[in-house]
Amino acid sequence: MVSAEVIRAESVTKNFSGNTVLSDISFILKQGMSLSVIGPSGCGKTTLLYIISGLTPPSSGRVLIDDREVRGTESRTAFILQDYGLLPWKSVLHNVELGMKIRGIPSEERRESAIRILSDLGIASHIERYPANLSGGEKQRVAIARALAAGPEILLMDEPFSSLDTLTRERLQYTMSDLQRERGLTMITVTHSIEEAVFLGDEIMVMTTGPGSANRIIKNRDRRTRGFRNSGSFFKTCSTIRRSIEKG
Amino acid sequence: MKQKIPFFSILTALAATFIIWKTAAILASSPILPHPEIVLARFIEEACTSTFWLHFSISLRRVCLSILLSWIIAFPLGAALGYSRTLDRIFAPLIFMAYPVPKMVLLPVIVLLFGLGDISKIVLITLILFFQVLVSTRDGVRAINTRYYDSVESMGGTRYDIYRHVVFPAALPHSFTAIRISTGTAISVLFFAESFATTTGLGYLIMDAWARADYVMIFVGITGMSLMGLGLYMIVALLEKKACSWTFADAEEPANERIAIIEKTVTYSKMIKLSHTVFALPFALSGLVLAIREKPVTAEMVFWIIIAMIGGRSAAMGFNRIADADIDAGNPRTAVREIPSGAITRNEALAFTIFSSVLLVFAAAMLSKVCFILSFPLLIVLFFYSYTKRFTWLAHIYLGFAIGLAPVAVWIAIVGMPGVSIMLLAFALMTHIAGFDILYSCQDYEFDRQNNLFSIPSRFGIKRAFTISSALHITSVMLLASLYFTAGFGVWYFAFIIIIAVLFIVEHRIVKPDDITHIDIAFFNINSIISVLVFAAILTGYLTGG
Repeated sequence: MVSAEVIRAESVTKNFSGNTVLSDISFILKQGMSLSVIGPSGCGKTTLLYIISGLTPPSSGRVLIDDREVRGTESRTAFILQDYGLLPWKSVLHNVELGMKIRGIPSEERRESAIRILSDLGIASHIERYPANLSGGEKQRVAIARALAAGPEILLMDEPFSSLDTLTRERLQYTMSDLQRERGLTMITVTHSIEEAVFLGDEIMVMTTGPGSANRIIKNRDRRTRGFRNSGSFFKTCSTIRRSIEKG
Repeated sequence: MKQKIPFFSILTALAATFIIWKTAAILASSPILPHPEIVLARFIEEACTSTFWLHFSISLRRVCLSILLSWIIAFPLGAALGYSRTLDRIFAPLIFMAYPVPKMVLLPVIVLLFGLGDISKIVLITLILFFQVLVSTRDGVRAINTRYYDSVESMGGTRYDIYRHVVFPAALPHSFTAIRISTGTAISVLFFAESFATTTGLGYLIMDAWARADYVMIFVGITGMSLMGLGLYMIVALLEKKACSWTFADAEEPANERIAIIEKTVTYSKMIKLSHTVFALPFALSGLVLAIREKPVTAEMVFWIIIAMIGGRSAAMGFNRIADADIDAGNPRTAVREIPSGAITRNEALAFTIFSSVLLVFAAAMLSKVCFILSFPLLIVLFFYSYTKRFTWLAHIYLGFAIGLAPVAVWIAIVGMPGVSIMLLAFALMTHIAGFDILYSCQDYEFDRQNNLFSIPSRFGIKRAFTISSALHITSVMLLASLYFTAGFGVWYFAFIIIIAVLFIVEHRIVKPDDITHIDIAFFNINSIISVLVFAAILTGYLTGG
């Protein structure tokens, strides 16, 4: 399988008022592949996502998407923020439609694709509700629906399932993994959870603090095999990563 | 679904206000603090004049325009200051210096600048509200979680999108809260602005009454202003719920709550058969007509008589529903009643009964000391009815007796010791009511027998119950006829008595011992008509009599 390179980070560095929070991050991600980013709090994982999404410019280095330097947010990239970022004053439907509305997609079309994706995720019955009336898992589904509604090629997720209970969390990991495969999404997931990183990442980047930099990138070749979650390979990769984090 | 209904809170608040005001008025015992019922009567009187509404509408227009204007200017400005650090750096110090300055003192200057008309008043109120809305909106926007901005921006949102989808909707509830809280301030400022160099508005009305030492009128003006403030507050609260429904997303759906209040009110009126109160009113009014011949009657007395009647009837009905809840639940005809069906809880019904009883006692106290004292045994008499059918088949007679007390009570309130005529009327009503209650209870014949409940049909059988009912109704007509001689009525009185007699015959014709299916609508209507005709007869007799 020869896929095209989609995301290329070249020596990305970010300073905030004199402090280096991200130092010299480089990686390449091919089309349809998934990268998990794991590391302790404050290692700049979120900042990295902000830079790739175009919300924050790097202090030095650059991020290329399809060989073009990122200079702002792009419609090809969808970003699911930590704690979902759903607007509390908009109903589920309006939240999901928001991205398409901003891009000027006509309302008929907007509604149609929003309802389609919400049905795919099993929450079409909640479209009139406000986020405050949803459970954590439902909120996360809405956030995924919102991100995918406009048909992006790249999906960035910042600790997407961190505030969910174990069962919901695993169910959504499967959902996400399936969606990524079906849609051929190029995906970057920032997470605290080793299992999540291994389950969702074709490659796992382990980061360290002070300043945040990429310790190493681990290939996770067996990820797409059947029954991976209960396989020896899954647990082996998990312990490799744990050791890598512990070493710092 | 358990919901808190402010129905009782409103009633309780009104009653509390009334009682506190009344107590204060009694303690002060000075014309400066008039009694609430006097103010209420005068208020109703004034509310029937166009002058009052002219002043009211002028004041209302001033306040509404000010609220609107201040919101239109302050909301976008506050939102911009909250979002843009640059703008905030420039303007925040200015605003925080101007905010604590008492804007009221600027009235003379504003009058000089804008003249004596509406504009100066609107400018002053707007100026004060403006800062409230501005500061609340700005602070509200500053408290927005920056993640929402990132969220919109990550979807390619521009600054315009951020204002449209984040800043404005997030700031809206804050601005509404500011407006809602400021309605009181707005009315206060309005009063101040209208007390000075003007001849229109409620503020002027109050100051004018003050100059004329018309203390009741001062309170009429105050009541008008309070009602305006209350109304505006409620309208803003309603708009807030409509426009910012998401802030109530955690609670029950707001729209449902509103409907629930209306439904609850309807349920309560059903429980006490409010329509029956209206139909029973002729009894009390009949007593009133008889009493007028003896003593003069004031409008205030009539008012308290009606309140007492509503209180007494509601209390009796409420108590009956509580006492009979279990019996009602077992009887398919009455299982749809409010407590057995769960529309109203037992506690709510109890609270309602207590409130109604207090209303009766209070209204009685307003009438006379004797009425006040008698109101307690009266309540016992009314409540006792609910238990009679558990041990005696005379329950029907007792019901007639209890309702027949209405004209007697009115008589006592106005005249004092009951005379022959009023007693004749009471007995006429007693036999009339007992007679049709017997027919009514034929529907429960089976149920009463099974449940050991006492009634004339269950004791003597349906056929004999019909005979007893006829006898009672014949007695009723005879008692009414004899009233002609004791009360000195005109001959026209008899015309009505004949119609009533004919209606009784019709009533006994449409229901037969072997076919009681017609007991309901037609039956109930005929009884209502008879009740109204009794009043019409007495009124006509009085007007045509010597």
